[in-house]
Amino acid sequence: MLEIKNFRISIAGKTLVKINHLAAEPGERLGLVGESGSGKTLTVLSILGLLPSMMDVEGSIIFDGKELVGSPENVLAKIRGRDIAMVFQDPSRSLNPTMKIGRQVGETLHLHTDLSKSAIKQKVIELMKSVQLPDPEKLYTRYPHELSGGQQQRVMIAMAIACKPKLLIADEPTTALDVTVQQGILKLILQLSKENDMAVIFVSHNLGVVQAVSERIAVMNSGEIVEIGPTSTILDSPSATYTKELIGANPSIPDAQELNRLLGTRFPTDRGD
Amino acid sequence: MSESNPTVNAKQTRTALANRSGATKSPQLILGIILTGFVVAITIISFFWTPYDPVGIDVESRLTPPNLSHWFGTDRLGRDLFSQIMVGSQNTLYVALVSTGVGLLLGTSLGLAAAGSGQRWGAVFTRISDIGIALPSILIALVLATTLGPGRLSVIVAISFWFVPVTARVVVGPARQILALDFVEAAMTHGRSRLYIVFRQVVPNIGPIVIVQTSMMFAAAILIEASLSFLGVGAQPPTTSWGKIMMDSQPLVQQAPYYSLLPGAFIVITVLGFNLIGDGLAVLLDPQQSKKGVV
Amino acid sequence: MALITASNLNFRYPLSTSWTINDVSLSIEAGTSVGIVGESGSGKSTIIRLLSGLLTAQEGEVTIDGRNLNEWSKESPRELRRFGQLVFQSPRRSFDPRMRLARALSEPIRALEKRIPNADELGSWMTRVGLSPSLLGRYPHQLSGGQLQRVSLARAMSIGPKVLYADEPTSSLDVSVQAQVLNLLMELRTDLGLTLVLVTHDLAVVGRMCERIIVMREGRVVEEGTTGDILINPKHEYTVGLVEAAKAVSLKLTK
Repeated sequence: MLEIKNFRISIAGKTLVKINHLAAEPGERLGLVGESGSGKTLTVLSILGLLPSMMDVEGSIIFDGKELVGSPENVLAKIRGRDIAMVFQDPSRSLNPTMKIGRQVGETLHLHTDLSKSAIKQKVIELMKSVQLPDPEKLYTRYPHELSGGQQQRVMIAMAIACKPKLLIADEPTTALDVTVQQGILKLILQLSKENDMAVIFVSHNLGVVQAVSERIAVMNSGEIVEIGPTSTILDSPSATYTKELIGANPSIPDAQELNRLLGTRFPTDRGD
Repeated sequence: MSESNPTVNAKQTRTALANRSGATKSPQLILGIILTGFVVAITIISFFWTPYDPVGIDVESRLTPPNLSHWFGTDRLGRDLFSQIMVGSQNTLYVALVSTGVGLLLGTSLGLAAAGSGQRWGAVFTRISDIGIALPSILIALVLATTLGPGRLSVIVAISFWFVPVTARVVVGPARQILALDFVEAAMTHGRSRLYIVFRQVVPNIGPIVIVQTSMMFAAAILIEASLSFLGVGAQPPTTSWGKIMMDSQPLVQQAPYYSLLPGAFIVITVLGFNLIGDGLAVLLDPQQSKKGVV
Repeated sequence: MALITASNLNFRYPLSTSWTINDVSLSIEAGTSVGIVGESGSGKSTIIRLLSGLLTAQEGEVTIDGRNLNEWSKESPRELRRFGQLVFQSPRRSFDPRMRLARALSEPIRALEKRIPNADELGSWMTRVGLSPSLLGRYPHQLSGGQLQRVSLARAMSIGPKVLYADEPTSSLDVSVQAQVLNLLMELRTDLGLTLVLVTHDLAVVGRMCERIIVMREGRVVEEGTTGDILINPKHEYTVGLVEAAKAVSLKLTK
């Protein structure tokens, strides 16, 4: 469904991203992991043609048989929101603060379909229910700042899935949220992907979050894909050094065994457990 | 211990650029100094010498355009224009410098006090400065002229009256923002007093803003002084200022265009010079030469 | 006797109608490492500012080493400052962008010990936190986040405080750098016998760094206990949910 080949992003002659091959199947959930500066965000922005104009792009990104690189703006505009949708990190900055929620969620429907106003409103309420927003009728007329961070992100997701896109790109969608809220959003994305056969490219620096959502993981470092494979393989038997380092740096919550070990060596107290 | 730092090369380049010797970094500064220097030099010389007596009337040579004996021509009464401009600069610059200085000192202090004093007093200060800004300086000047009498002092007071709240307003926002930053909290945990923090941490960090504000005020002061003199409220004969010269030239614009163009040109040069110095200083004093590049 | 105790603290920010801290009581023993955990709005950042004296509670009392905090603050504020130091979340915002690092690093010594430290002293602190002394001549923007946070630690430790309050010290840093900074923190702590009060939302960090955990929510203490108690046998419903969510979004390895 999506294939990136011989792909390069450069600026003023300096290569920022170089990907030989990266593909995603329909309905597949692919995690893209790397630290800041690894090029993961640039890569996904280029899928939608959203790179700053000063950056040069070479190579091929084929989506559903169509070549996206070099496509004119009007062609890309039809794809954005309808076939490929994107959710960003900070919902409070991605939502229009002066537009009511209901209207914002309905925007893509308005742009890409011929539905009447009332039909759109119906759909919006349904969408808001499917992302588990409480009281959709009430929230319809609220403004973004009246919602919590988690609710705002659900609104973003509702907007993204409105036209039933084949691919959802989520760039650090949970990083700015509390952990209990994160859990909810991840569950939601997982559920929506399964229900609607929607592929997801989940970008994050947090391996734990990526693990929760992805079937396959691609690890990026300094603009290149260092390793790619099924989630369990990458995490349990990584081959690349960088992947191992990254795993080492992503701590897990220590279990009883590990706590005992830590207590024994780190804390010289006589406190029992 | 090594840490991956992909932007290291960019940083090294910026540092190298930043380490160039002071003046070459800032062509604006050099040009500004040249222009301002020129005007200041003329002012200083005017205290000791002018080509002609500025008030020397010579009716036979009235309204002659610029020529070899009168470099800038003469006015209605045959007085040498160049000498008048030289002497006029004394008043103009004096007014501009004093009112800018007062505006800067009092305005910044007011702004800092407002920013550092918490909610209630801060609100009081803001209201006061709002009132100050709302009152047009020209109106104040006219009122003062009636009470104090026209002349340099009224003009200075009038301009300062407006500059103080404007500067305070410009300073308050950034000062408050800086006070909310972590390094201010850090300084408090190190035991530094509020006063120390305001002077050693806030002031240097609002430096560029204040410098730019100062150069803008200076330019505004010259223009306001010119307007006030134009209205007859500023310099009174026999003293003169550039604004007064422009006022005198007004009815003769068609007959003697040089009469208004030349003092006007001087105003432009001086204003430009100070603005360039302001820009140049702001760049020079900034430890971060350029915005952080995103790679 | 506990080193730091808080009794029935109530605090609200000026101009705010709601209480940020609601009837909070806690105690911290000398030489221990305690984590204060909570989500946004829990008041965890506020509470360490109350404990360290940066903020004053409207009601309740804080006792440090047997002395009342407010009295101590009035009688000998410098001594109080030498007792406890803070490290903040964003290293970039913790440094005056116009001050070179040598000067920034020497600030606590200048202000609290009334002397100017020499280059050797500053250099040895830099080395102690794993940085080259040649960085002392640089400005903050010339260092990476991780490097700056180390300088931040050096700065806090330079006057030999007994307590270090760390407010989300690694949250703004890249993942690979976080572990390095935390390890450094642990080293300094064991070498210097420090009491560490660590505020974070990250249970993985607290699990590795702290012996006790205090869980806060909406300005109140919801549960507290040893790290093992909280992470393995949480009792309060909120804590249970928090631990479960944290596990769901953190890395799980099968080995």
